[in-house]
Amino acid sequence: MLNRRQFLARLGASASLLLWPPLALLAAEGQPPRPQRLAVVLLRGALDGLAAVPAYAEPTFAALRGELDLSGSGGTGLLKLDGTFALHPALVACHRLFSDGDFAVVHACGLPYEGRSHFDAQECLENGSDSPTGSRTGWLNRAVGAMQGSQGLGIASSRPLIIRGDAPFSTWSPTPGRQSPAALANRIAELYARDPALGATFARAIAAQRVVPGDLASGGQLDDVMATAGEFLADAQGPQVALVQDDGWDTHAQQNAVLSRKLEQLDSGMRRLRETLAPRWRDTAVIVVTEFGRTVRINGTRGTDHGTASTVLLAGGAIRGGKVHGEWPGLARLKDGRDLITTRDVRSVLKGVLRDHMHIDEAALGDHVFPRSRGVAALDGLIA
Amino acid sequence: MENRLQQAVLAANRFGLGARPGELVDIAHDPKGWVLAQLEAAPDDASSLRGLPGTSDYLARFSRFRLDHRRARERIARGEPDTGAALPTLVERFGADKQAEIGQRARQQCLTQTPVVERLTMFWSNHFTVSGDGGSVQLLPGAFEREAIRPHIGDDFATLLLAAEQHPAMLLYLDNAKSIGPDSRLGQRRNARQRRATAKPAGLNENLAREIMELHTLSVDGDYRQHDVIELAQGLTGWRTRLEVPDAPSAKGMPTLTPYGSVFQQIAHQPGPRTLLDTRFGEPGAEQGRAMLRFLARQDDTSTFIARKLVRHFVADTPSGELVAQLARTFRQTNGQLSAVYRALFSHDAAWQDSTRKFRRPEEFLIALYRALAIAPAQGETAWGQQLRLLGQPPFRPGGPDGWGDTSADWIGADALWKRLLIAQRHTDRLPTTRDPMELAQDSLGPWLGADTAVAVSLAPRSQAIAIVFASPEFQWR
Repeated sequence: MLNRRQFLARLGASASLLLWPPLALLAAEGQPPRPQRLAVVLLRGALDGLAAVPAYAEPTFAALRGELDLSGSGGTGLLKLDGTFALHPALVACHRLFSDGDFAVVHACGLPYEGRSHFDAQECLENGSDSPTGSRTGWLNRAVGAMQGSQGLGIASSRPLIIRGDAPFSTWSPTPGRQSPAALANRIAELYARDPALGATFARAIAAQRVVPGDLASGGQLDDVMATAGEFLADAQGPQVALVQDDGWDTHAQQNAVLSRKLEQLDSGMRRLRETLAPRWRDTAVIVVTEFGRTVRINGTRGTDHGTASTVLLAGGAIRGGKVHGEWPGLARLKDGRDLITTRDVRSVLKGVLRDHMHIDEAALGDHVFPRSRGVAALDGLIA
Repeated sequence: MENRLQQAVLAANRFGLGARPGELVDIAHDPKGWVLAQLEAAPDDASSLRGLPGTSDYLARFSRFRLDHRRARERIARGEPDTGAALPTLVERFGADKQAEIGQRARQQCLTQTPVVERLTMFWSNHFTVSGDGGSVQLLPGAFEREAIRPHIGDDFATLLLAAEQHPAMLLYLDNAKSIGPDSRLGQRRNARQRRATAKPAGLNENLAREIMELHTLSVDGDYRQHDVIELAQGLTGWRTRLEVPDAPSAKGMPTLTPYGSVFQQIAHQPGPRTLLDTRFGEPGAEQGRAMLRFLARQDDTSTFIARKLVRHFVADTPSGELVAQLARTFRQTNGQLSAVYRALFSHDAAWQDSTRKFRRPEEFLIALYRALAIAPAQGETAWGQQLRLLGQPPFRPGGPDGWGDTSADWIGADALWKRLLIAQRHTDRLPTTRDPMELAQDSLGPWLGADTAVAVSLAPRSQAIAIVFASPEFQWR
């Protein structure tokens, strides 16, 4: 029987962020933890899919997009994917991954909800149903619930809807720079050992204060957070599923400048996620989603307004990359004369990854993970 | 006195918001009396909340804001030159108001001499959650609590229920403001225009009706069906706000539902009688919905649900069946008189047992910390909201109509504890030099102060000692 000091030392010494004793217990009981990993990156504010993955070869593209069309932008032009599509110049690492077969795009994905309210659309995207009020729990939580013995981790200080529910899904958020309470924590560790409800949890808090990258003190930029997600996922006793979220994608004005910065962050995050995942990258699928797309035409303030169909980005060793999936509807006809037409329900992409990568069966996906969605077929061919 | 002090710390923490310096000794003279007296007292004048705008005011300003922006977009669409005068963003226009709402409410909680009343207000605000997530609603949670909740916590449940459900904030938050009876005059005009035959009656929104039954009255386990939800939703059509009907109430003599900006619009109301839980409601106009709500308030499912929530909130995550049954009986015997229910709860021995304890939610933790130091947020200071966001309980934003969770499973976590240590460290310079950390420990924890914690506090240098008090396991419970 370990005494408390030995127990804590073991937690600290293992290169693990041991926040979930149940998982450690499971491992001890001999149940093989599954190798597959899933990272979901939720971009709040409506990423402009046509800016991230421009359809540069469309004849009306330049005219509709005005200065948002970056095809002719001097030396640093678009990064071509194929004869129709390219990536935004900032997505350098993603482009490299595309060539390696570890990055893919699914264009013209939309929600069953057709309004243009951020709040309602995010609710719909997160609850995995066909309306903003269709469920009070999140699809990602329900997906974890459908995978025996799995746990999730959300990098957030509160619990966003997408991870709420009955399945084990914890949260963690970076400690803002300034004085770390490590010394205080160590001083009072003994006090907590005596509290039956808090003792074990407090011990985990101390164990989790292991090597945290110095630049996390900045308080959680997207690339830092993605890197951290990779660390958690790479850990043998860590979660199988991680959620990362980011704000600031609502580019109504000065879109070129804002988006260039944001996409650089996303790209850097993807590169660092791959690094921190290391050998686990092979078993990982990354899904980057947003609540809707934006208007095809540039608006009066050099930006775009709320639209409908957007783009899902996929990455990871598990992905069948090097391809633009989905059905491209073209730009000749637009929804309401302004938006890219939706040809695919976002849920079919999510189902495709969950079914083929995380091995959740179709029935569970159609009834439980995405309630009342039997009519939404999982998209084939997303996983290698 | 030993036992009285035990009861006093229970009174201050379990039923109050944490003891201010010297308060435990005062309460110890008659702990139960201290709690019960607050129920009798006239409502706290809530002076910290003075000067904040009312809902009507917020709605008018929001409406104006939206109109200004819509006109600007139309000008751009028509190709008119940019006037050059940039319109303020929502944050610029309303940021200071939202700050003031958070700050003044925090002051109220930190300074109040009737914390039991404050706790009850917070309980009901959470029961009738209006989460300030977006649109006009983001301006309203504070005003909603001041106007619909606080004045009615001592009334009968039906009165409180009607005040909450008729308030514009609730009608907007749960989408009733846009709900239109399909066979009402407005509904017919709309359907004629759209010529659409869908299975669902166009224009009707069920969200408020569903949450009233599931979250506010019968509970999710209550005995009702989808049909009942639709009937209630139809009964509530026409309950709208001045955002949808800008000229109300002056236009066409439209009656108000409350003085806060909600109105009843007859031409949006679904005509005909309604049947809810096999009971017929043939009242005209807004009275139909009100009668249906009063009916729900009288159901046994409702009294049991409210009783259970009260016990879960104040006493234990797993409410004692006996205590719940007692409160439910009192509820029914007094026709839902809430002050009688509170009296039954606070007088019951089961509520004063040491064997159960509740984990302090982030807001409760922070308020108790400030009260122990006898401080309150300064005017215009943003630290309160920042700290609560760090701790995982962003003010006025539970994010869903089910509000903040009320069990330890919702709040205990490794990261959650870690963040409390951070906060505990931040305020170590706020203890006046005339007070000593051990006094702080005794004043706020009384007999709950464990021997080991006392030793740790006495051995540590001043600043660490203060942090230890707030970071201690004892301080995390009430």
